[in-house]
Amino acid sequence: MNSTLLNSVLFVVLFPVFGSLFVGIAGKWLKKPLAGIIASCSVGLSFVISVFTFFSLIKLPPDLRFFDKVFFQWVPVGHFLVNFGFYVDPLSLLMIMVVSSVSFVIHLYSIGYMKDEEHFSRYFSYLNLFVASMLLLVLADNFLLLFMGWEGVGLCSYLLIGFWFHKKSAADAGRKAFIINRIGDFGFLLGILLIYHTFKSLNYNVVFSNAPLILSHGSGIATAITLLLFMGAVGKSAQLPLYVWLPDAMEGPTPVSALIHAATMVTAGVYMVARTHVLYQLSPVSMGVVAFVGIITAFYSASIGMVQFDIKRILAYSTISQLGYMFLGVGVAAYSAGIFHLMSHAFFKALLFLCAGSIMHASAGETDLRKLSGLRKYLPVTFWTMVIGALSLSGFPGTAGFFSKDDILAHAYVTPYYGKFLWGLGIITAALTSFYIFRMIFIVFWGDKQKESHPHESPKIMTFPLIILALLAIIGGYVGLPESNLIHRFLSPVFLGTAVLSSNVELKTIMVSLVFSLGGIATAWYFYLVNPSLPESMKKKAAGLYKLLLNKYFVDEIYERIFVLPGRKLSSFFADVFDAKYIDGAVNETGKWIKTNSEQWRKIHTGYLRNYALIILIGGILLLGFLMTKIH
Amino acid sequence: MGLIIFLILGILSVFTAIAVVVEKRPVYSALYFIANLVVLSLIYLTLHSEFLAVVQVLIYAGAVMVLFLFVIMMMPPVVENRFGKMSFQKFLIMPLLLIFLFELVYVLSCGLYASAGKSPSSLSFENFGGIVSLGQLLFKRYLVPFEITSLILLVAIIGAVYLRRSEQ
Amino acid sequence: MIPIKLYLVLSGVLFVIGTSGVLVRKNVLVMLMSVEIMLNAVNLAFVSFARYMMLPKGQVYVFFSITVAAAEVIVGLAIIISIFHKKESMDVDDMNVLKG
Repeated sequence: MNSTLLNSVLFVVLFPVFGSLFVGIAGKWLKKPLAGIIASCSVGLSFVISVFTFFSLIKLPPDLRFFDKVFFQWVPVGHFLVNFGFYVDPLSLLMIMVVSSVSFVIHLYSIGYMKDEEHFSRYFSYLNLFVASMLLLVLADNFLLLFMGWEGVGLCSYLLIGFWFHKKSAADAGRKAFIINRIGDFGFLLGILLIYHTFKSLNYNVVFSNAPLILSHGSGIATAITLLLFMGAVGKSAQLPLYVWLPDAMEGPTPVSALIHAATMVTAGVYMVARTHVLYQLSPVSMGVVAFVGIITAFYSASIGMVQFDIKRILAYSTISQLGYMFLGVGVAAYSAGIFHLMSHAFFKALLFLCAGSIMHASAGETDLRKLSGLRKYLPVTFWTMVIGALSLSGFPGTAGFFSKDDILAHAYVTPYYGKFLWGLGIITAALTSFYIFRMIFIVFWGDKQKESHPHESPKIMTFPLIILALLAIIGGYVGLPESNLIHRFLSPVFLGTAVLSSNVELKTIMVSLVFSLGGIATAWYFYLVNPSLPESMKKKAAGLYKLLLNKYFVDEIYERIFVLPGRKLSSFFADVFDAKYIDGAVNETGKWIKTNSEQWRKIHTGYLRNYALIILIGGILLLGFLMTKIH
Repeated sequence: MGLIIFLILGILSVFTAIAVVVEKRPVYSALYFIANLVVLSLIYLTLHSEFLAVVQVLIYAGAVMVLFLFVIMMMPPVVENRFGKMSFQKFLIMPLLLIFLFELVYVLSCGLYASAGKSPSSLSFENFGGIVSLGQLLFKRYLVPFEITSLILLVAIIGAVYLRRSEQ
Repeated sequence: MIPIKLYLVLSGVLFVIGTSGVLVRKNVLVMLMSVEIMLNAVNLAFVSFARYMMLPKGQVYVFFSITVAAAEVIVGLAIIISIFHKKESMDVDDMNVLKG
């Protein structure tokens, strides 16, 4: 690959940064659509560059598709040297293509969705910065730069979730996202420090090539590093037990949710685990933890999603659940399957969220399932695209989600440790998934009870992205067909030594999971279209379970009780008692003491210049006397 | 021969300096100070610092002291009562000054001299202290500080003008 | 060749004389002159070191210090005149606004 192209990869990050700065600073003077167009173009340019880079990369033989391009020395402090460099390889390239393409589409959609927003340019400035941070995170060639992108993503999520900060719930949700991410980042930072302590470097190449030499297989340090890194991933990618911020993140504008859930932010954790898979390979314990946290989160949040009434909230739990699948994938060493699912999920989840936005747009911001119905006639484009997204999510044959999800489940099936359990829970979750998503589809689009409002289809600028994403949600899967499997072949130089499946096993697992997901759709169809009274009677029968699920297993309440309330009490103790009595007391007492004593001390200020000069002379005499003692 | 010249000049400079301090009338103090400056410039000459000697006479004796004299002329003649309200200082000053003198002379004659190292060689005397070598330094290596001093002078002028104007 | 010691001692003596002037005199102008004597004493030390170590840059420093001294005198005299107009006195002991 020629060096100009490699240098131009810098612009993949720089374009959105410039876009963000320009739109943020000059936003006041930009007309409304213009700010959005500029922001979209900057992301679009990033996408163009990444596509060009991709095409020149695949011309090379697979073993030579790795480039560590250093732009400058970023932190040279003694022996501690960190470069500002980008690591261009199939994995990072695939990621930046997914991130920039989905972000570009979401940017376009936002121009329509946010057209009545007062702080239009501020929104796009944040959005661009968000994308830039994510691209930086993906392209970084060392852990510190990765961490910078990681934190940038966290910051932007805070800014965007709390975009309507005058609404208390939005401001709270932003804070919640930030604080919970902080917990994960704490572990992540410790992991980075431990990596530096172990390898004396933060560069990927150095760390990964030395890892098998320095750390033995299953050693404690490898486990510690990977678990600490995974703690960061748990926070960022909303896994148990730090997932609670993501359902609240819907307080932001809907395209932001699409961005957070699909392209940026939450996928960072999966990418990071895939990127550091060399370290994870050294620790079977960590791999097990990743897989189990993944599958349990997947099942757990899918079960919550079944009974929620807010469409954005359902989608949020769906994201958590799908992220669980991805972690299951990388946890059973099926890294390319995990990344594949990340990609297809990016397409269909962005699609679903944008459809949800379109529904809200049509029905005056309504997101409650109980108040929406019969929208099929009014929103034809939204309806069809959303059905495609839902089919893809539930793994309907021929869609992207079908191939990627089954890829993961097949890998889980052949895993030696508890593989059958992981797989079993996985297909049950698949059934739950298709149930909750089609429950939503059936309730929103079928039925005929109609309110006074007249829903209308969204403008072209919003439906066009939906169509693009719907196409991607279908054809995106064909890069991973079981037989040819382009994506595996593309990523295989990165993930050397990962398991390869026999197509026999894959076929078998596909059959089973197909039955389950179709069963989920059928159940939803039966429950909500054929026999609408059934859900009510089910509710009565299993009232306890229903209440548990509706209240999300009371996790928020438990966290409130365990962490928030004691924290509040401690703070109020510090604020009202400690601060008032001791801190203020100390300050006041010092002041009093000085006031009483200064009456005496002021007398040394005689006001006579020569007095002062005399004192300076005495000082000089003392200094010289000190010098005299040093001479001999 | 050099030593005799130095001794004469040294005694002269000390004498004129003492005269500046003890003379009751400021005008005489100023005149003695000018004499002191001229003697010092002669001492610079014995140290082969011709350019500085000239600068000393031109700037100090020529410009600065003329300024002093102007100001003195503006003031009414006063005869001062040396200690006035601070008679306690009278008893402190003499012993403290003596200690200070002792210490200074001790440090200067013993301490720093050792670190000064080698005695000067009379080889490269021609250029030393001349306007060429100094100019080379001033306009090459010390160009920025040199320019900054001009800025300082400008600031001083503006400050002086402002001080006088703000009263009126 | 005269030893540098003598130059340095001369500079020290001049410095102490200047100090005594600052401490003893009450006339502001003479105090300022005494300060100048102290400054000149230091300049002398600089020049003699420059001479004995054959470092012309010592002279450059003296050059700068003379320039700065000139600036200092300008501002100092301006202040003295201002004070004189306010207080009608040249006596430092009358200038005791800072008395605590």
